[in-house]
Amino acid sequence: MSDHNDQNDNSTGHEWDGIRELKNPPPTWWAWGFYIGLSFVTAYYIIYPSTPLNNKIQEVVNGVTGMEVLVDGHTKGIMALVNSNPYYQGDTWTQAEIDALKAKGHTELTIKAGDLKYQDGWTAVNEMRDDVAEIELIRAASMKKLETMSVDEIIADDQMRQFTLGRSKVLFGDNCAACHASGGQGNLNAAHPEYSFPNLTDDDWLFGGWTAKIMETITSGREAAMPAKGGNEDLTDADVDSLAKFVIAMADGSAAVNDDGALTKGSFAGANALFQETCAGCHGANAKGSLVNGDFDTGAVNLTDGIWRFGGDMATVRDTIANGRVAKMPAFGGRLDEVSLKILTVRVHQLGGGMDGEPQ
Amino acid sequence: MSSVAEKDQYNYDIVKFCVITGIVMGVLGTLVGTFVASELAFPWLNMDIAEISFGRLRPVHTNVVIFGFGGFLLYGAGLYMVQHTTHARIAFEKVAWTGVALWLIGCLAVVVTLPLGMTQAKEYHEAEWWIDIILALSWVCLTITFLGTVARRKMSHIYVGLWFFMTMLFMVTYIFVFNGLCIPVDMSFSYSAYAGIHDAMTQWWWGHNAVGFFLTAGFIGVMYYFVPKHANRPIYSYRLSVLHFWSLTFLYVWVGAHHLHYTAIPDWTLSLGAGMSVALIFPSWGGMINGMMTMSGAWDKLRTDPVMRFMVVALAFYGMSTFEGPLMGTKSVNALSHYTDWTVGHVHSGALGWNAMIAIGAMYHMITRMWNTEMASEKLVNLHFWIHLTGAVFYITAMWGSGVLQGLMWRAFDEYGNLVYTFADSVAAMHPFYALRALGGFLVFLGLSIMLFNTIKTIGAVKAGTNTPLRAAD
Repeated sequence: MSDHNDQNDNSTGHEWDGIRELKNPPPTWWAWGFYIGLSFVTAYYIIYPSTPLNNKIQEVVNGVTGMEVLVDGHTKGIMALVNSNPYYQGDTWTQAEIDALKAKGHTELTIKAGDLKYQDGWTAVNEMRDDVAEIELIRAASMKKLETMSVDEIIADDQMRQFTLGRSKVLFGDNCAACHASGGQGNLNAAHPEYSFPNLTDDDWLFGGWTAKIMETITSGREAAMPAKGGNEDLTDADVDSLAKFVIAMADGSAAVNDDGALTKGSFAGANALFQETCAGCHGANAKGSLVNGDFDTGAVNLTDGIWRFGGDMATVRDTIANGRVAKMPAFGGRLDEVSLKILTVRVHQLGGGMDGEPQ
Repeated sequence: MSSVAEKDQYNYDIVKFCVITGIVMGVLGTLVGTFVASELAFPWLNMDIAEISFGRLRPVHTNVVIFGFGGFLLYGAGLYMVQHTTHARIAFEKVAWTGVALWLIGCLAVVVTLPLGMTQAKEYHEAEWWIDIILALSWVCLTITFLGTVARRKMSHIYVGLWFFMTMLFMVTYIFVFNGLCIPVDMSFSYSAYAGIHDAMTQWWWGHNAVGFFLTAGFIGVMYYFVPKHANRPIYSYRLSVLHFWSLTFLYVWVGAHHLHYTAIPDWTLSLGAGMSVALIFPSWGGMINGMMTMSGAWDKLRTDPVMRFMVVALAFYGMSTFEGPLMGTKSVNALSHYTDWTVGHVHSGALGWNAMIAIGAMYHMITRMWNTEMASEKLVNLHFWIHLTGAVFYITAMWGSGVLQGLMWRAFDEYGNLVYTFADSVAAMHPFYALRALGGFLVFLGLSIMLFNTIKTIGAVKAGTNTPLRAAD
């Protein structure tokens, strides 16, 4: 046994399982890289906050002894000297806060109202605030205008409309797209009709496509319910079937009723009689829905335009009539600020079906 | 050779068990990985079953590949090389077998409990407290055996591969136990001993050093035995191995905070992590250079020996990912890369490129030596190499593309200062990358399946039991 051999080569003389090791020095470029790495870390720690210190330094920095509100002792880095924080000015002391500290016994306080609370150097939060401030500066003028302009004024102003539409995309995507889809095209869910949501890009409105009504819908939400069998418990299964056939026929144009509820096309006399008795109360004698008939609040759909809220196949229509439907749009008034609500109103109005003028 | 007494032979039985289990774990882990990757590309695959949803199965994948595949490779290769580089049979064999058995029990418990939703919700440390205890006990068994065997060595100097292994044994015990401290409620639930930023700091102190010591120091140790042994060349530089061993060991423990850039962690802590990360590039490269330069005079083996190719390409990937990692650990790059798939790509360039390839190389080497035979099909080994490499490259490039695209989409502003894309837009843009990633993962799984098949055929062809006497005193 020996782990030293007498080979006269460039080896350390150790050997394990036949493996020897040579006495080559590390490559020069590696050694340089190693030292540069250590220099980098030193420089990095001088530039950025890096070293935790005790509170004594904090006291000197703030001119306050034993201040428990500022336990943030660490080196600030030389970025504190060069970073002027062009946008974010940092939090400042108020007289009330200083008085409160003095009341706690910190009578030696030398800070004045308006002094910076923290020595601003590079901090991740300041960097974020700077970035946000920079972006806000770009949009500040337009955002300021949004506060005072009405939705209709925004739509009429080309430049402001473009800005608002650009601004609306993410707002719409984050708040509306989950139901109405990212393009606002809605969602007709064949497997689960109850998870179907209205298309916002057409001109078929439930509660009105005027800007005032869109704003109202987004702000306060909407709720609509169709009772099972239209609330008429006397309807038989056969009645439901014949109503379903009639509704589908109206949608595809093979049946029609006039404003007085008289059948003008198709042979659905019996079904129309049932319709006028049970459904016309909400959908109107002309089956054109509540909005067309001047009712802004019911949200009963137009059955004559071939646009379906929950699906137009026989099974779904039958299910809708037999079991009713409940639909709800949540209110965004409490979640989004006034400007965001305006922005979304502009987007929904401009998706394709916006109605002009005042609600009528 | 039956004339040689057992105590004068290497204990290959335990190594054989670990290697075979490791390959099986690799096949299982990459199969689960391929499935969860496919779920991201085609979400209907979760079939509305909670137990197979991405959130439940993803940690099964990470645990099985890291602790199952990687762990059994470390157990197997560690017990193999410690015997070979001490010229001694392993010490405390019953303790060693207990350790291996506990590790297997721990891994199987992870596979069962995580899909059921029992988790500590700590990344790479998801297993509940009682599984932690099983794994920790197993690790202590391995440590006792390993140190006992080193104490039996028949030479004064300890081989460099063993230094790295011993560092791993010590550090992994330390970080695993401290990160796992908790108050158990029942078998399926516990409260972490830490809260808020302390929890986050401790978690990434563990998380990054699991990479640093389990997947780096341990695997560098493996590299230090199997590369020079397989190439039949001496280690290039003793001094370099000393320098990069100590600098790597000292620097790695600091860098975990770079996982938490732009969070509530104090800025000075993050600077410490970022700075040390950059300083870590060259200590990490020391291992790559020593391995690569060891190849000088043996480069021709790359043309003919796919096992050598596995090892050398592993070193190249190691060099690449230890450059990429520090880059991503700096604040400015991290501002783009954080929370994106770039991180996932980086991890897999280390995991598929470095860890898996050096592990596979070492496994092929050990199989032929322990069963004293050639692989049943050298062509399949070659095929495995190319399939694995293609899969790894598909995976990594897909995640680079996807990650950088995500990062850029999230921070894109139009001329008015408005965000251009919604979050959902960025999700939709990921689809082709996710499909390519799933394909890459599948190829890695396919390669490991070929390896398992080839291994079974190889072992099946070995008729008589073999035993190998300890290396004679030189």
